[in-house]
This record gives sequence, C-alpha cells and structure tokens, in this order.
Amino acid sequence: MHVLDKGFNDILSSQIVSLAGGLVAGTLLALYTNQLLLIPAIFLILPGFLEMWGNVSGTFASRLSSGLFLGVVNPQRMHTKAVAGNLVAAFCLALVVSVVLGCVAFLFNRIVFGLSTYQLLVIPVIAGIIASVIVIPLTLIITFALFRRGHDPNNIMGPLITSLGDVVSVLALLIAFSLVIL
Amino acid sequence: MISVRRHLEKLRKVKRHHYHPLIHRIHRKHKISRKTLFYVKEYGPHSNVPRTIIKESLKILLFASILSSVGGLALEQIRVLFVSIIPLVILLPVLNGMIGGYGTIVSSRFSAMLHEGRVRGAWWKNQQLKKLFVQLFVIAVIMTLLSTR
Repeated sequence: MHVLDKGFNDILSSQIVSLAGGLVAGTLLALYTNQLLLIPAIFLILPGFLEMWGNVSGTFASRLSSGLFLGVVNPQRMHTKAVAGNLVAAFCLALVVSVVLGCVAFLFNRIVFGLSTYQLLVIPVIAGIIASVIVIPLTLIITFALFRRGHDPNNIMGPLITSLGDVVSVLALLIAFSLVIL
Repeated sequence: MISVRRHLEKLRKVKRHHYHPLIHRIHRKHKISRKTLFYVKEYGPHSNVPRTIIKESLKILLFASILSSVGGLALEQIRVLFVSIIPLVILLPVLNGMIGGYGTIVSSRFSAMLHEGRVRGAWWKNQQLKKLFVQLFVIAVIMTLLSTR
C-alpha cells in the first residue's frame, strides 16, 4: 500500500491551509474578544455557525466533485442546471440553518439563562447572508479550478472551506453585530 | 425498448437508499452507463435539483445545528473563564473544524467511490478505503504535532 502519494500530499497541504485559516480566525476572535463578548450569547451561536460552512459548502463541493468525476457536470461549463440547482440549494440551506441557529440560541438563552435577547434571532441570519454570499460562490469557483488543474477536490475542499468559512464567519458575525446593535 | 423505458421511469421514482442496486442492475441488463443512469436519477429533466438536495440535507443539518448549539451552551456557561485563556480562544476554530475536515474527506471520497461503483461487497475490505484511513491517521498525527507547537 503506497500511502505517500499525490492524494496524501493534497490532504496534508489542505489540512495545513485549514490549520492556518483556523488560527487566523482564532486570532481574529482573540483580537475582537471585547466586541464579541458584547454579542449576547455569542458562544451559543459560534460553534454551530463555524461548523455550518463545513456542512453546507463542504457537501456542496463534494456533490460538485462527484458530478465532475462522473462526467455529469462539465468542468468547462458552470452554467448548467445541475450546478445552478446545487448553488441555489446551498444558499437555501445556509439561510435555513442560520435561522434555526438563531432560534435555538434564543430558546436556550431564554430557558437556561432566563434572558430574552431578540437580537439573537437577527444576528445569525444577517451574518449567514453575508458569509454565504462570499463562501458559496468561492466554493464553486475553487472546486472547478482544482478539478481543471488535475487535483481531486474531495481531498482539498473540506478543510479549505472549513478554514475559509471560519475566517468569513467571524468577520460576518462582527459586521452583523455592528449593524444590529451599534 | 419498452423495458428500458420502464426501468428508467422506475429509477426516477426510486428512493435514494434503493438507488445504487437498481443502477447497477439496469447497467448490467441494458448496458447503459452508470453516469447516464446517475444523471437520469438525480438531474433528469423532470427533477428539481435544489428540492432534492434540500430535502435530503435539511434534517441532518438541523440536527447538526442543534447539537452544535448544545456544545455552545457549555461554552456560554464558562464564557468569562474561556475568554480569559487566550490560546483556547485562538484554537477554538481549529479544533472545531479539524474533525469536520477529516469527516468531509472520508464521506466525499467514499460517496464518489460508491457513485462510480468502485465499492463492491464488503466495503471495509476495500483497499482504497483502507489506504485513505491510513493516510488520514498519519496526517492527523502530523497536524496534532503542528498545532501544539
């Protein structure tokens, strides 16, 4: 079994990028801790919000990769029914998950801490819209670009999207917070 | 010919978990490529691509969100202590994303193998899958060493 092949290099390099991206997002979190602490129940939203991009865009990239390998998606043409359908689905899923995250955070905050913070319903939705406008089109473009260059997007996109999503999510949450509260 | 049409109609109506065996059966019987059959099932002229994806993904995504919020509840309870340990705050996104990254690699590679019909019989005996797990284990060890530096 030849373990150290091209796939290994792809996964390792994407994990290193993911680690770097995660550390950038973590540093942003640490730098803006004071502002983030002003967001009510931020830690109720944060893990789910950071994880969401891996779940939504990661599976989006995976579906695109399967389509590309099977030949049902043409690597030279992005404007097809399958790609457009996937894109719409990813946007809808991101929006629905953001709404649910807000509602769950609001409920937990009310039940466990006895606080009714209505901004919790709005902040994840605005942040979700801002982040999805950036992350989802980037997922599409990078998946196609990697496939055209002869890489397996399955090996790279998961960690890459997770790290990209982390950085964008933290910034989007800060922007949403400043729009709603400040 | 009628038989082929009937089979294709049956494929369009079939639920996802019955999808693969039928594709392989039609492929063997009528010599239609698996790629075409995949296309017929998933992205045929009468299928609604976003609806199919949303229908399949929504439940598990909602479950994942609620589960993450439960994790967040624990963090929220130690909010002040947590933010006072800065290295933990910096490592939060890394730790949050690391396992998800490995999971996505395994699931996407395995689903591509299933779609291409490369996994037959006992999946745990598949050499490509075994190799992937060994690769991920080696990479996980390297990444752990790197992140603790």
